[in-house]
Amino acid sequence: MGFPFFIDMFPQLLYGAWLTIEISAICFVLGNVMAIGVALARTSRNVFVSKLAQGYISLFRSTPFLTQVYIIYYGCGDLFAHTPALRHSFLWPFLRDAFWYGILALSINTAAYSGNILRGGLEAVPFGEIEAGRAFGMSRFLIFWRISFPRAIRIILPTMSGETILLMKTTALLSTITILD
Amino acid sequence: MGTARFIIAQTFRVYEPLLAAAVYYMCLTFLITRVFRFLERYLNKDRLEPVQISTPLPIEVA
Repeated sequence: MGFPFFIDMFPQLLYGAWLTIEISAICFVLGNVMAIGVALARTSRNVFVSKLAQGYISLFRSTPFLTQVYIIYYGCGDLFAHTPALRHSFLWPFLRDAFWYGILALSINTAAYSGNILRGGLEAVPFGEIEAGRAFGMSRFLIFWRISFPRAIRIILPTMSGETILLMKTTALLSTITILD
Repeated sequence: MGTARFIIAQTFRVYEPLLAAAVYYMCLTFLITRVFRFLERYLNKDRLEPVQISTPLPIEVA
């Protein structure tokens, strides 16, 4: 025990912290872009698409994140390593690195959680505002882009703050697949 | 966290790396909280408390 020991490990931990920030930032962007798609599919009027999104959300929310990481890293990693065509392709530097498997797993997981939150936000938009958009003759895309989406983001901000903190802390689980964060 | 475990494995000191990692995570959480607080203030200006605007005193009718 002692203060000098903390100084000694400072640079090492700082590097780990930087990796944590990097992973969180990439997964925040990727996950939330995917979440928009999930939320749109979930609110879709097409029953098949809506059920598909619901299945995706419930699948990734009802399994532990550690299990998902192991399935993606050991499962896919093992599968790819036994495919000679992939081993010699230009993709191999990506498929060799645990980093990208971690990013993939965390993004998919975040997309499920944020997608459901965003769905709640989209449904909480007052119907009168959407009706006003229709009265102006806006297309459905324009209504989404100018009315529902900005409005939903404002509604879900407090929830998203908690979700982002959870995302940042979940990166600690990636240390089990040799990412030294 | 991985780095903390690496240091624990190398030095056999359990508490210090974990404490340090906890402090790091707290700092990051604080940062995220701040960013979102700013965003909430910035995007929800309409929901903030109304600013008190000083109004002219009612005119005394003599």
